Amino acid sequence: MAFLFPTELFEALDYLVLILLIGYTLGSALLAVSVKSIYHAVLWLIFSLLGVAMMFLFYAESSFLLVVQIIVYAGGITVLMLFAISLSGKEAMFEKSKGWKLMDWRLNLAGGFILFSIAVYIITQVSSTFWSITEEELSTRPGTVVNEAGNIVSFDEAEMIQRLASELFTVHGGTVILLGLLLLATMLGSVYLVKKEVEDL
Amino acid sequence: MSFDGSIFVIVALIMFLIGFIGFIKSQSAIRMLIAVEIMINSANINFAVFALYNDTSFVTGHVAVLISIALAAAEAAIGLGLILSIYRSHGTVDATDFVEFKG
Repeated sequence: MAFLFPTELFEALDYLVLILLIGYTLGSALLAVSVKSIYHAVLWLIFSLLGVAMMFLFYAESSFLLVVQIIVYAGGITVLMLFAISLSGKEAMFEKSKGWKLMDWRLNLAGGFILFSIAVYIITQVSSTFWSITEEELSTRPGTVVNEAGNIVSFDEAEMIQRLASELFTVHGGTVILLGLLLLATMLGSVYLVKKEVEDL
Repeated sequence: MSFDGSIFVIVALIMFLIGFIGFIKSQSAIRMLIAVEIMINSANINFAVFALYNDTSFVTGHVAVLISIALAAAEAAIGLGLILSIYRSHGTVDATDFVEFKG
């Protein structure tokens, strides 16, 4: 079917998918911090996390990160949050709205100005600093699949997962062990925090 | 690969600001955790997308994302455990009511 349509159409569709994905992710994130019910906020958080998972798949070329994001974030942490809301009673389900007035308006203005300056600085630094690698350099690396015209088609998934595994357990092996210890401490700590007080012990 | 990844810096920036403002303005402790997760995810987008461009083996950024996801899981477990423990002793999850923790 590809020969029936001009390539410009496919490029325009690429941009359309990008814009839809960004709108989906940012819109869900905005709703997650603004809806009144905390239950609904967690549900919107799931959609935002799924949008980030799609970004990992499409634009970071990593299906492994997509799977990890869906299992750990969208499947694990959000269910944990839903259980915490269920266990902490009815008043936890809705947020008491006390309005936007948090502090003096001069402090609000100063904080907004600082945030705006940081945003402008980051956006002006983007173009020159990070993208020092050209597509020609990228296409000569191992793991990149190139067609006859020299354009990058895709990245070899199996090779990337293989490289991720080998790097995770050689270069970053100490970090993995530390993470294991951290998760063990987390498990013991959360059990200690939520256990019922037993008088006999 | 028809466009470069620099748009994701702006996406991550907007997402971080959404999480930051949500963290500041929320009263519920659970919604604060939600806002923190959004901020962590905005950083993860940058790690994963930059790994394709500035890394010779492509995957160091992905390792950083994996570590960050594990840290976020630990943080959520501990945070929700704290919230449940505070709910048992104080009967509220409203962060502005946690006046006894003031320094």
